[in-house]
Amino acid sequence: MRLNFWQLLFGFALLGSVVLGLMQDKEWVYLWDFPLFFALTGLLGCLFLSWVAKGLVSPLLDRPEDFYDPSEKDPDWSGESPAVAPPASTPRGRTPAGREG
Amino acid sequence: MLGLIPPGLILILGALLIPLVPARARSWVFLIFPALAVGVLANLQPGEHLGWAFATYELQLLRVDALSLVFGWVFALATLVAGIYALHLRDTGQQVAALLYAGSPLGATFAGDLFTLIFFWEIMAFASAYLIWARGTKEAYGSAMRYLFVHLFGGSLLLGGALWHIAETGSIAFDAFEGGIASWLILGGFAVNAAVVPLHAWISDAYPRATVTGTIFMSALTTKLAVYTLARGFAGWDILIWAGCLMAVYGVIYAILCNDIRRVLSYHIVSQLGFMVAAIGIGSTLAIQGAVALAITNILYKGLLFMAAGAVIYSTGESRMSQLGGLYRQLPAVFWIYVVAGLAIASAPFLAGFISKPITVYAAEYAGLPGVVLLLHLVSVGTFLSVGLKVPYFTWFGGEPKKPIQAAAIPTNMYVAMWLAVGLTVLLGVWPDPLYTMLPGGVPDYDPYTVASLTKGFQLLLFTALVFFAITGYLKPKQKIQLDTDWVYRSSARLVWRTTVVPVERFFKWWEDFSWDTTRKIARRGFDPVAWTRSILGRTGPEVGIPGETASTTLRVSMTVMMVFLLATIAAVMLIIVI
Repeated sequence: MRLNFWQLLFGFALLGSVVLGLMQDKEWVYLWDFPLFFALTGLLGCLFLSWVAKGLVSPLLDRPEDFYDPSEKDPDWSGESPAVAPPASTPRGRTPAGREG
Repeated sequence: MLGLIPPGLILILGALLIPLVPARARSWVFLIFPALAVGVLANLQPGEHLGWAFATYELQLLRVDALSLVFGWVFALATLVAGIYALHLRDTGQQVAALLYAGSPLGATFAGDLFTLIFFWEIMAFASAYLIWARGTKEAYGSAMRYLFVHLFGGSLLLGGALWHIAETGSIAFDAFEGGIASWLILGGFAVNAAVVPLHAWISDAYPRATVTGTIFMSALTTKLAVYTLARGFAGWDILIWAGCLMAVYGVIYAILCNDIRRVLSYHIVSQLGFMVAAIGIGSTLAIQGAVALAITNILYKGLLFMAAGAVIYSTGESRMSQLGGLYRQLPAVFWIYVVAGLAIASAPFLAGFISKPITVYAAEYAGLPGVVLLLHLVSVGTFLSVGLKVPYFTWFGGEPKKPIQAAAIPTNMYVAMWLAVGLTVLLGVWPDPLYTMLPGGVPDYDPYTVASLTKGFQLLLFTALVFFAITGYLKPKQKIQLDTDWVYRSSARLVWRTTVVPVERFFKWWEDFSWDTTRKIARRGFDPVAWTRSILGRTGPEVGIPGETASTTLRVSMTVMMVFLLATIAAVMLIIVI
């Protein structure tokens, strides 16, 4: 496997942070005084939270975008972004309030 | 004396003046008012106050101390930066609303009594709702209405609590609350604005639907004012520790799931507010300092995140990560701006988050709450995962967009505002002293830059990133929305409509039809023999106005019968009420 510059840099940084942690000589009082505690928290915490969100919560609470309102499916950004053309004839789903040139 | 003008009133005065300015100069003149407010703030000294006799009470329009001053500064500066970001806007309504909105938390911050606080609190709800309405779409309209109702509910709790409190104690002063029903009501009012779970759903409902520029004001003001009021009134209330922990975890889980960039950021506000609320619950000097420092720096980099997300929306007309991707070629500058803010919020070393968030965690450690400390560390991982990695990866990289996107040029003023915020984020990160000296209770007893803290910071971020890059496929945002507590009032709206409005409407319609019908029949058969004869003979014709008919008699009798029916209705209603 060939690594590019950024991957190598990332790898060295990982290694560096671990070495830096091990070099510190601190008495253990709490769990988080363990030299690699934050590396492990990052590693396991990230896996754990991803699993909770995607594995547990997502199947339970995911709904289609138009669950509450059909107009949610394709939000109209024409008033906010020049990249979107304004609706051609009748302004779709627009209230008459509050806009001027 | 220039020094004793409430700075909030300057912005509110600006809201009145700005429609009179020629349209082309309006957005530039907008900036004068927050700049003036900054000038006034620079002259305020802790200990000053300005009273105003109103009825039998002495209102405190201006109460200056370390806590109010530091929030005043950041609100005024945030308004200035957001004003620069909105410099290209040609919409008087939004400009007026934004000034009115920015003035109210500034006024509320310096309010020394409950009446003044509530006055500004309510202005804030209405003015900010306009910034959602101004999107002009159907979903924004509904969202703004819900936002307004939730905030009016919170405002009512606050008002009820305040009146109760005044009746009980006889004092209108806004200071630390002692407990009792009045205090709990006020706490409820503050909790709505502080997005305490389960009262938080307005934030993820409204912020993603507000205008690109409006959301910047919203992210900076409403919730952070609530942090200020909680810190002033409810420091050391244990329940806030657990409410804060729940918020921190809850917000971050949703942030990992959401698809809309600004919804991720909104949920993440809930999570960050959790840190602040928990710290306020701990209530030690250090914890309050942590909460305040975190609120101040959060306004900075959360505003920056919303500005970068707004720039993406402005440029592409799309806000969902599932539809975005591969934008780096077109918007590299916005990417780097976003990354700075994303790293800052994950409290990466040398950025503003690193000098504020760890204070809250350290305060929890110091208070002997290891469970809270572990939880907050875990949430820090989720913060970087959702805001610092997921959003930039799936927006600027992560494959191609579903439909090809031609990014429009972003106005220079937006870039200026964003770089300004980047500059402040980095500056505070490497030189926290200006912030630390402003904190209530003096410079905090915390040294952000030690070898140990740097190691912790780097380890946490790097290993989170390692896992993220290993499981990007698993974390890819789906084109879905997630149910939240707003389901309760959004889905029940139809049911409430069906059970309360529809039957009543049907009943009255039936009653009206019935009485009209009966009246007509009686009138026709009794006093219009011509028409009756005709109907017997099977010939049709107009019912009134035919020659020979006594129209006035018909009318009089029908009116009499109507009156009888009306009286019968009233009698029936009264009977029901009496029973």
